[in-house]
Amino acid sequence: MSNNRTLGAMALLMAAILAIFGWGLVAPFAYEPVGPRAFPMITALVIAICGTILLVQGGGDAEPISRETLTGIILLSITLLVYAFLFQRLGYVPSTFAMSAVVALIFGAKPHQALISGVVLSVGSYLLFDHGLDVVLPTGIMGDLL
Amino acid sequence: METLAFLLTGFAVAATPTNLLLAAIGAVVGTMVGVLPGLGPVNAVAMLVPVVFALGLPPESSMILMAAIYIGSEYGGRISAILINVPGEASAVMTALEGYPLSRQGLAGVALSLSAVTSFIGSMLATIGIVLFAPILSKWALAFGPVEYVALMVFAFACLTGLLADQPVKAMLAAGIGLALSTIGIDANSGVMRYTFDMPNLIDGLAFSTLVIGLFAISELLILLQTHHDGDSVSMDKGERKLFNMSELKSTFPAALRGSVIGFFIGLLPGAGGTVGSALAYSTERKMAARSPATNRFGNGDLRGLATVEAANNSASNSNFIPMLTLGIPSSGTTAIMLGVLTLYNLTPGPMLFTSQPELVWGLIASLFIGNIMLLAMNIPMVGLFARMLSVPAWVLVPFIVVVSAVGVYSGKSASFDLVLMTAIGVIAYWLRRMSVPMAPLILGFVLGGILETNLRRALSLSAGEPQILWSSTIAIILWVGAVAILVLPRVMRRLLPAEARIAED
Repeated sequence: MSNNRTLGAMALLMAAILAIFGWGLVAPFAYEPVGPRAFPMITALVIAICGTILLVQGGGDAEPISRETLTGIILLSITLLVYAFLFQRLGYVPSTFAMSAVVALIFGAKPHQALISGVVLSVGSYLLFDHGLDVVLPTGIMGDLL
Repeated sequence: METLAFLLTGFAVAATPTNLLLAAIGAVVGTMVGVLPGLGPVNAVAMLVPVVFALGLPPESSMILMAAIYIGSEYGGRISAILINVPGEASAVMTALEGYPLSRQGLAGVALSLSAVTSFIGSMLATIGIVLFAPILSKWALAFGPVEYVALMVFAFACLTGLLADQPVKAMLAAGIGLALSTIGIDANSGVMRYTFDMPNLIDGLAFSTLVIGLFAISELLILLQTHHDGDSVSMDKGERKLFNMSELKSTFPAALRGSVIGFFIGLLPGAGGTVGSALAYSTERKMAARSPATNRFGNGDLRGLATVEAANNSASNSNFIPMLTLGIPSSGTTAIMLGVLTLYNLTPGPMLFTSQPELVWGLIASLFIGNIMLLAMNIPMVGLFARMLSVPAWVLVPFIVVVSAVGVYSGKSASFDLVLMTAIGVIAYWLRRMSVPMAPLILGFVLGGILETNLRRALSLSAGEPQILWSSTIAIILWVGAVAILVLPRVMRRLLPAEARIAED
């Protein structure tokens, strides 16, 4: 399946979701001729039209990505997701340390470089944001230390 | 005269120590992200959205900072284009054509300093153009009612899909996605929850900062995986002459003026920014040079080509502020984010801004003058320092971007939910970008979605639901016709532009 076909199919799926979950959007008391449902339906229609054109047209094959890049993309996405989940639970400094080190490794750092990057970035940015700019960051497991 | 008085108030706003400092920071950051291929003003401005709120900056200061980044990146983009033949910025694509050959001939110093000056000329002329034209346009636009607004926004979307993108269908799809995302949350008119899926975090809608950071920072990192090369060692040999001489300036000055004018008018159109402007200026200049073959060095490092391109893309990014400030229609991803930031301050973008927020509007305009002078002053002596940004390895840069993004998104509501959302948006955006779906119409759809829907419903309330009202005024009809024309015309225009210009701009 060509790239444009995949994109078109996904667009149609999105339009369907918008339409299905948007159909029930009716105000209990209507004060105006156009309620909350019309606009989402128009956007669903626009998306569906674009999706249909792409599905029919096909083509648009992007250059394939290497296995190495694909692995990197999957690793980076998972790392970011894990970081998002651990951000509050583990606390800012440890989770940022781990994330920075792993991301540095993904982007080709040597182990000692990754370690330094993690330490400098996690501690440095904590001091900058939490103490310098008054952004309250989660302390997590290091609550008593900080 | 009235304008002059307003401009003076603007300078009073822009010249406060805080705002001067912010403009300087913006100029430095802008040049730095401009130098780095991959990172552009749109990424930097996106990451700053939550930061300006965390710092408690007033709206005019946020705008001054972001505008300085935007114009600074145009100065930065030329550095990598000239030195390593990699445009640091989409609009610097044309710069490399003449700039890189010059640097191969040992004239990098001349090319860099001359292009800094012509960038400055383009920016300054465009800023003067803003002062002259923006107040007139905003007065005219004050007569706009909901009907005209609906037509204007459709016109803007048509421009964006027709002029900006190589594939109009994908641009339209992106705009549609943006519009759909803008409907998430509680509907202000009826109190109905739309697409919240019972998640309390979505009642206020999709947070703007989460969306832009996901779209422009996180997805960019995934793209960097594909494109990054570990720390280019740039040969900083700028040649014997570090500065251009007077005869070089004199011979390129007319080209710079022509580039500025072309860039200025192209920049007025929603969707067409520096990329289209500089491409048009370049092809104009090349055609003119072809008439006198004796002096024609196009393709082998012609200073006129370099001068006109740099004048044009800077001029265009400055004149971009005219539709943004007067009509509330941004013409690029970056100005769309700036408009979104204004709405976060509860300000309604549009012609009313000139009367309701003169300090903000004129402060921003005045800061463009100040920012450009700062940029010129920085860019001639410090060009080597900025070029060194190219040797920063990706493994230093990327974790840093993740940290700034995550802290920014988290600072909004202190919720991990937003971080998960940011990552998910980033991954989806990466996939969309790989499918060559442009991101600028998406963010424009999101920013304008609320305003478009409100005006549409207001207009139809006036007519008790009759859709004919949407094309009931002359202005509205002109805009509808213009929208249709712009969807058809690009097929013609595209033949006039060189192939290099067919790149979606941020």
